[in-house]
This record gives sequence, C-alpha cells and structure tokens, in this order.
Amino acid sequence: MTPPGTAAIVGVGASSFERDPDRSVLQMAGAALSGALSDAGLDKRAIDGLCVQIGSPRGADYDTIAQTFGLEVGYCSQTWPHGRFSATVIGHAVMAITCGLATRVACLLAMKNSDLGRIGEADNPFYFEQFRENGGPHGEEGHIGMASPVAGAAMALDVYCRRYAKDRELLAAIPMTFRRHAQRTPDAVERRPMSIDDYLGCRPIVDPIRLFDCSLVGDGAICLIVSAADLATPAQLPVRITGLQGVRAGRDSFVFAPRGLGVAQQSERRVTQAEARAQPVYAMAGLTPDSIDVLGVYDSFSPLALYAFEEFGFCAPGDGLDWVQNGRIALGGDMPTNLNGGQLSHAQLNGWGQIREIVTQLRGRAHGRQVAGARTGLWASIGGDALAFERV
Amino acid sequence: MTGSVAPTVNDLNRPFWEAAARDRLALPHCIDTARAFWPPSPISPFTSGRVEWREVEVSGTVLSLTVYRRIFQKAFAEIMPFGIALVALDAGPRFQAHVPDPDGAAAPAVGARVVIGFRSILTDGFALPIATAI
Repeated sequence: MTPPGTAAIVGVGASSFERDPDRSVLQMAGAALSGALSDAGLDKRAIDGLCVQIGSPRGADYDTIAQTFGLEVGYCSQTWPHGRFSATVIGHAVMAITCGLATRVACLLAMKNSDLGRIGEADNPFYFEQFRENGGPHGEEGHIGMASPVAGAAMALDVYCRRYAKDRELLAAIPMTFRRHAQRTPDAVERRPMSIDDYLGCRPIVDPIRLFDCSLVGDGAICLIVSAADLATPAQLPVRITGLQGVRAGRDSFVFAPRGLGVAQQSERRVTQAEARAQPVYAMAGLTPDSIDVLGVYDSFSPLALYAFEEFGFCAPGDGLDWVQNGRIALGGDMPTNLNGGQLSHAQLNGWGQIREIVTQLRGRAHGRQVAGARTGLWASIGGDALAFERV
Repeated sequence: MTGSVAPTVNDLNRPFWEAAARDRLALPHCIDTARAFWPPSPISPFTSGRVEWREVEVSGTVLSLTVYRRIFQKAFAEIMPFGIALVALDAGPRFQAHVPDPDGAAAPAVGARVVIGFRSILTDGFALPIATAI
C-alpha cells in the first residue's frame, strides 16, 4: 500500500500557549498527548510509534517522553531542535505506517522559548551555532555580526523587493490578515488588533524586517495521532493525508528565500508557476492550488508566507505581494491561509499550529473561523515540505 | 567564552583566515573548472573533484544591505547600527561582509562597487571582512 490515503489524523491535542517561564515542557507535552488520545478515543496502549520534533537541548528526547508518559512504542524518530521539520515528522509517521512498522503514531512537538534569550544572544543554548563552520542554521555568520535568523530573512526580503521593484510595505497584508484570524482563535497568544499604523510604526529589528514581521516567542505542545487509515473510525472524524513532500536542500535552496532568488549561492532562476504546480504533493493528492479549501504556510517571518504562495504555484514568481492584497488570504477570501493566526500571531510552534488548524477546519470544528464545507487542505512551506489533507 | 564572536578556525577554512591576516581574500577553487566557490568544501561542489585555495581580487558589487537596529551580540553593541552586505565578488561567489556605520554618507549603497578588506574593529581582536565603497 502506498500513499495517498494509507494514513489519517484521528486525534489532535494541545497545551495552552501562554508564555510562562515556570511551565514544564513535559507538562505541556503530557497535556497535548492526553488531549489527542481522548480526542481519538484511544488508550495509550494503542500507540506503537512516536515521532517528536523537539528534544535536546530544549527538553526531553523521545525516550524520556515515552518513559514519562508510559508509552511502549516500537518505532521512534526525532528531528533537530529548530523549526522546519513539522511536515517531515508527520511524513515519517505516514511512511512508518505505510511500511508496516507502526499502526498508530503519536507525533509531538513540545517546546518552551520564554525562558531563553532570542537565538543569536549569548544566553540562548543555540548561541554557538552562529560560529559553526560554514555558518549557522539560518545562514548566520556571528563573527561579522550576522546573528539571529532574522538577518537572513531581511536579506532575502531586500533582494526580493529590489528584483521585482515592489513596495516593501505591501507585505503588511500578511501579518495584519493573520492577526485578524488570531482574533477569532481563542488560544492565540496575540489577539490585539494590528492597524496599518501599528505595522508601519513598530520597531525595526534588522532592516527591512520589523518586529511585527517576526513570529512570537512560543511555549506549548501539540500532538497529532496518525493512524493507519483502515483502523480509523467515523467517530474519530479522520482526516486523510493524501500527499506529502519533504524538505528540500542544495545550493539553490536557502532557508528564508524561494529557490532561485539569488541569495547565498542560489541561482537566479525562479521556478515557474507551471513547474510549481507540477510538484509531487499535488500529483500524489490529485489536487491543484485551485482545489485547496484551506492553506497553512510557514510564517516564522512574514515574507516566508509570500514565498510559499509563489513556490507552490498559487501565483507567479514576483506577483506574491500583489496577490495577497484585498483579502485574498483572509477568511472569506479565495485562499484562506493560516486561519489560526499562524506563527506570527497564534504561537511560534514551528508550523504545527497551522497543521492542527487545517485538521480542525476539515473536521468542521473551527467555530467562529470555519471555512464552510472545507474538504481539502494543504500545508505548504517555503522549505519545500508539504502535506495534503482530505476530509474522509 | 560565551560572548566571544571570534570565528571558528579549523582545517576546512584556515587558508581563508591566514590570507585574511595579510588583508588578502583567498577562496577555494574547483581545479577541474577553475571556478571559485563559497563556502569552503574539501571537494568541489561542481564536480566533486579536487580543490585548491587561491587569492582573488577583493572587488565586487553590493546586492543587498541589511541593517541591525537591535542588539543580539554584546560584542557588537558598541558599534550599533551596523550593516551586513551581500556582495557578488568579481571572482564569482557571493560573500557576506560587515559594513560599519551603514547610515553614514560613506557607506556603500546597493549596486555600489566595493572592496573586501580585513580589519579588527572589536575588542575580540580578530580581523573580520568589511565591505568598503570604492
């Protein structure tokens, strides 16, 4: 059996996301796991796989997590302690199920940033990464002052706006739209209104990136239970995973730029819209950008959402800043995106919040922000990773 | 040494820092294609073949200039704001360099021709690559 359709999400659980340095990562993880089990109507003995995203040095690894919660599992995987690999973690669960290595996999993100300095600062456990040979995980070069992920995002946005001769302030539509979505999301961390004046006037971080272009410091845990589709029951409101695609890497890739933008050692040849629409995730799921009801994109910085729209063929390269205007990506628009508020306003959970929201929407449980009749969903990240979902 | 911003110097990149100490720019080259590349690799990213270090012209063109308005590293706190330039070296690869006083009249604008020089501007003492308008 191969995807599409061998696996489905049958349970979703989450902690709350308020920032509190005294909270425990394992306490949040436990809340998310028990919530997901309860949502799925499953006993923990039904879980035979565990895929986690965040462990050392932020918190407990997969083995401690299993011991702590009394799981007995025969298939485990764990990625690194930064973002990016949300869809890959879920992809590992789908592949394990498809290969017969597990039947029900708990996929877990748990992390806390409120007790750390920002990445790049000396009191952050990731301080030394900016001095690694050939640079930090976001292109940092600490010895020239290029600390923190924000610099690479700033450089790519600067190159993008020059290349396409676009007004940088058009970007406001992205954080402002996601903030309005967060206002309809009870567990979003940041729900205060954001006006255009708020956006234009917020403090600069690394020009041309401002504070409101940066995701929030996040604390929290999310658990998604991926089950063999033939074990799912209608009562679980299963959402099938109908397509997937992994994170891309190579000289044409940079973490905060679309392919071919011309930063780092990238080429200057952008992927055409036709090529973007011919990616494996669409073929696997039998979908096109026009047939997606709800979309989730990685938005640790607001331009990353812009690039995802282009990289996944929703609009042509260079057209993204115009395409997002006039409510296109808002609830009620053509392509409702990050309906929980995304990393920019809901919580910085490495994309897991948006994936949880897609599942919530397809189950018809999004209440005051529900897209009526939502049947298909897509997670599409600037990194190349993607997941396609369909309500059973 | 938490708080130090000195680069990691090892066998992979030592020729770069040895040249930098003489205010020269050295880059690894693919021997098969004679092309310079960055960042360093023990094998050519073009052919997987052999590599040697060669000194190159220090000139290039600024593709992007970003400016730090927020302090992340204590070592750079005294020289805020500062810029990071993305430079298309005439030798081929793109290269990132520090730009002091990016709001000043002498700072290189995007599109400007620059040279890469190595100067010690921090108390840490090592010489770091700086892009200067020509």
